Amino acid sequence: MASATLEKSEKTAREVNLPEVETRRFRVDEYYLMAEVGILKSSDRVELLDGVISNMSPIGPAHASVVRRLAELFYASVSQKASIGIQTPIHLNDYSEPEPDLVIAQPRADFYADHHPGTDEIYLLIEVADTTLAKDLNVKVPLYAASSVREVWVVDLPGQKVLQFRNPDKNAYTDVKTLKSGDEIELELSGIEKMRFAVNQILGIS
Amino acid sequence: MATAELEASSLEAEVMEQPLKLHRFSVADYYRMAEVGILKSSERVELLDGVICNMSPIGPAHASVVDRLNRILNRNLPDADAIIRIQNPTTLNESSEPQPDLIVAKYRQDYYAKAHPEPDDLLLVIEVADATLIKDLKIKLPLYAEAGVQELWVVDINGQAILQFRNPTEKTYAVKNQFKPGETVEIILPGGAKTIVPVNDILGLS
Repeated sequence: MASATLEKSEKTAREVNLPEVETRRFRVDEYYLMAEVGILKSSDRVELLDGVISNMSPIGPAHASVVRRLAELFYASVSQKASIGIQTPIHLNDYSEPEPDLVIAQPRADFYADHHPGTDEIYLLIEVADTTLAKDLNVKVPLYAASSVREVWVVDLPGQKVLQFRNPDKNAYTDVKTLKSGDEIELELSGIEKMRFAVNQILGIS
Repeated sequence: MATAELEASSLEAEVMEQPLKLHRFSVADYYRMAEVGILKSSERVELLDGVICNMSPIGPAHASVVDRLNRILNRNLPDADAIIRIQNPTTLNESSEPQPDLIVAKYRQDYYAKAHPEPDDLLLVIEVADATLIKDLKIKLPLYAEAGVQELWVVDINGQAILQFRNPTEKTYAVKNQFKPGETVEIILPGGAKTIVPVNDILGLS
């Protein structure tokens, strides 16, 4: 049960990126208005992280295949007992609307037709990182912790491991596990029997 | 006239350290945001390389140096040759519209009523720095250099020095000089008009 060595980030998304300037923080309503009036185009792949409008990298096949594997694993284990979202937005607060690779949330009959899942409704977020490990670990994980998201997994593709973060406390998770090939990652969701996923199955290792 | 020792700002290295790809806005986007009410007229912001940045509040030391420079330049530069602009915009290119503390711009009869001065119009740009020295040197200086602004001064209030930059190259200035109390700085306009300014007068030292 090794803990991952991470930079414990006390900084906001803005501070991590451009420490010398204070960038103008945008709110979710301003972000939507930009899309409405064409400042942000539908072809722009962006997400709002702590008021910073950030471009999302194009998704390569390795990344996409892991998202597909995870989707299949979750549809098989939690279908109907939880809502599964693939690269759809979540609403953390007035300044953050990220688009994680997977969001496992409380089931809703309307499938979140009138609002994006919020922190109280989210069971688990999963980010798959091939080129984006620095962003995921130094920006997104602290942001998720600060918003009290219960659990986050980061699939580190180049490192061939899965980092499991639990117990959010301010800007960090206090319970961090590194799972490698051959290990199993355990997931406990209320109302569902404890699940175990083989890291090999997530990473596509036989 | 000692050469200032400054780290060449390596923007490429900076980019590597930045985990987020900030979405860059154009000058047109920036004005549209003001039009639709996202940016309010009370906000003190400027557009630097596509990033909308808050400007720091101006403390009295900073303001006094701006006012001194304003007076010195207005009294010494012939009306027909130059317009002195205080904390108003210059459009450097499609993604940058800073508001330097002072600009000495080429004379235009319409006083730039139709469009803000552009790099070719700028005879001298002056940034006064107390809290913002690092921002001015690391963020703004490369933008001015890249746009071809011929001469930049950074008034370092805390260091009691005038930093003079000439000969813009791709991301920096080839000629860097530092002027201390007791010394004088020269301004030479294209028409030949020359003025010599004592550093003490700029900094308000006897």
